[in-house]
Amino acid sequence: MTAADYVFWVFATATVVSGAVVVFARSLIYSAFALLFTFFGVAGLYVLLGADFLAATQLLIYVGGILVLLLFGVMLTHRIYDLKLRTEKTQLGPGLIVAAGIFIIFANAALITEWPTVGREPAPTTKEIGRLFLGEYLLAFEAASVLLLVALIGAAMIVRRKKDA
Amino acid sequence: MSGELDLRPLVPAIIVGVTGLVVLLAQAFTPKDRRAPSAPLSLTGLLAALAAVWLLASGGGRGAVLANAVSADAYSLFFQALLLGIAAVAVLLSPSYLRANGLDRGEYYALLLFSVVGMLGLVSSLELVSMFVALEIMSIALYGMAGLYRSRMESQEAALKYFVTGAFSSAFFLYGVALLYGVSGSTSLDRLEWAVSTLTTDSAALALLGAGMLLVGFGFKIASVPFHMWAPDVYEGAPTPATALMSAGVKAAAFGALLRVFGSALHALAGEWQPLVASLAVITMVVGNLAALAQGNLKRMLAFSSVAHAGYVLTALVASPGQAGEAVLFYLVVYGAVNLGAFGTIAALSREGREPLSLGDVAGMAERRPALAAALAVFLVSLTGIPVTAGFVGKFYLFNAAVTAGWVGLALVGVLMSVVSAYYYLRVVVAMYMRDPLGEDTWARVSPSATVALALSAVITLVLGIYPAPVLTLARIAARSLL
Amino acid sequence: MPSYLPIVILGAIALGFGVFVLAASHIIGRPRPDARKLSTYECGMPPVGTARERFPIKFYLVCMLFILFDVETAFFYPWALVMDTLGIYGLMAMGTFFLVLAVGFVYEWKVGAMDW
Repeated sequence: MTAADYVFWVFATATVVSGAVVVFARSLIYSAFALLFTFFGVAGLYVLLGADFLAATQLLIYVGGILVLLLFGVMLTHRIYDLKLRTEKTQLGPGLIVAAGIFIIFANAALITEWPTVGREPAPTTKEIGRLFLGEYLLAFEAASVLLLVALIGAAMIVRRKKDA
Repeated sequence: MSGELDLRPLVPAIIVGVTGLVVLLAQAFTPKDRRAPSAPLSLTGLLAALAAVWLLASGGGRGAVLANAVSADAYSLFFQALLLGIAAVAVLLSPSYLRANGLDRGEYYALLLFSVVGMLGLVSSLELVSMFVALEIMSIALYGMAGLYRSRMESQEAALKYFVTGAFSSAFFLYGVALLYGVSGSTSLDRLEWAVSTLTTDSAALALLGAGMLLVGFGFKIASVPFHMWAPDVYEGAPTPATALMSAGVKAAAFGALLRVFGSALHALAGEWQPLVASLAVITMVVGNLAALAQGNLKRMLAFSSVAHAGYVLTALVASPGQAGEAVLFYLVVYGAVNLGAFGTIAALSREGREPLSLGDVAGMAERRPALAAALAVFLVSLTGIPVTAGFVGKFYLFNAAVTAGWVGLALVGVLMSVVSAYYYLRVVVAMYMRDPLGEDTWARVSPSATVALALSAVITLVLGIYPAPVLTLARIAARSLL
Repeated sequence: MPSYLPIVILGAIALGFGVFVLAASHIIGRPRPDARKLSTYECGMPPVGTARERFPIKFYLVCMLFILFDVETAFFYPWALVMDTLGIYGLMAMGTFFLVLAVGFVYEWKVGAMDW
């Protein structure tokens, strides 16, 4: 194994284990903090894939923004901070079977596929992304601003005080 | 940069989007004690966009432009006209309802317009990333609209459930896009079509998984079983005109994109996905109709009916793209008019935070509101699909498409379930015409704009039942541009 | 693969500085505790009492607005790297993007979403 392989396993393990903690932790606050490691692990995987811009964005948006919002939500919401979560486990058997089945199918498909490759070392991607945003994906890029605007309106509407309604 | 930068196919969406911005600013700059002219502005924008669609159509179908991301072919234009029409009727239904429930704010109209921008993008995207962004614009605007009625618990529940299941389905959709990108090395539908038709057996698994993920994503949006759980709660909790837009508009837009992706880009895999779609159709029709039987709340009943109708439309997808397209396009027009009418009737009667939701509420309506009762009867009979109504013609073409493709059993299930559905639709008609009214008539007088909306829906429903040929011809031309 | 060495060095410096400051103050500083110093904070919320306070929903709004504009900023980076090659076309593309969000910003401002 090369050094990159070791790094991959470190990040992969961190992602999966902390992901499991997010799901199985009994307290929301543990879940929220475990999510931090999941986000970091995924960012690390992006780095290994040569997606440097994506990794930075992952940290900037998810860790810097979304996780903070989540922690806000968990810590400031009335009576949720130390709420014990008792997830129903009535569907455990069928759930496990479905999850395992999906995993096998996807893993199998990923292994037998002949992936198209570009056959070059990954280069810094930010510039290329900029070119694609303003070229091939111009429409999606401009539409993203509308998407953000809609989210903005929605956010403002949800928290509007009752007396302005 | 991108070769030809031709913005013309986007003009309708741009008009609607700019109108949304204007409505938003009008609301922000209107003093607190005055009302912003949101509804007239929105209506003007939608009609201008409709005119733009007409101009584009009369200028001859245009192929793909803007770096092959969007098209103004006959198929897109047909859907754009339909969606803009649906949105215009929803706007007409809104002012009286919003005022009756104390919700009259410009944001509602802005979100409505932006959701229409998303729908327009969804049906004209030729590229999966644009399609995804359009899908998200539509969905996020609708989450906001569902939660508009903040003082009602049901509305908050609706927004939350819609958001959580919607985000879940978006993840499926995006995963599907990623897998298909893995197959073709491109997000363009053209390239995807080419890649799928030259697949090696080893890569076929990946393509199928991608297609399956996309189908799940679309399944949520069209509310087909087993991805329908959100529909009854959301349809019940959302403000009723928003529900009308959701049931008519979202379904049309999602089917528009679904048919473009599966009927044209992934058609080479039809042998694999058609059985899947057929089984989805069967369980959707069965579960939707049986669940609708058990509903006492009219909005929930109509929600399950909308689930069932997603099943009817799915049956046609097993046919060849041309035939399926014609049947689906026509049916979506019928379904849009009928559903706007049915939800619109409920919305139009809303007063002081209440609306007629039970059979008792509509009992004896024929005596007190003969015109309105007649209109609702037309819509419900058309939903059932009894001959000489638009619903019959629509279902005939759907099931005929399935039979032609050799799926006789599928069509039989559809017919059988339509018979079942007669029970819950006609129960309402019976209550209106045969039962005595309970108590005083405390419902609102139908406002002029809502009258226009309901009359329009009723006339379209009646005309399409008796003389469907022109719209069918248009649907055929539109479907042909898919091939 | 692009070199991540600068980032690793940056991270090491940040971590090292934090450790250094804590360690230095621990070694050099002489603790002279008094009641006021030992209280949690001199300003802000009272440190004792029920944790089950209800917080104004504005906290969440500010946080959501932050995320939205954060995402907007993320879109600027790739554009900034290629804008010199695109000239007026790139400026117009970004201008449209920015304008839509500016309208949202004006709206938020006017309806008082940012007033505390």
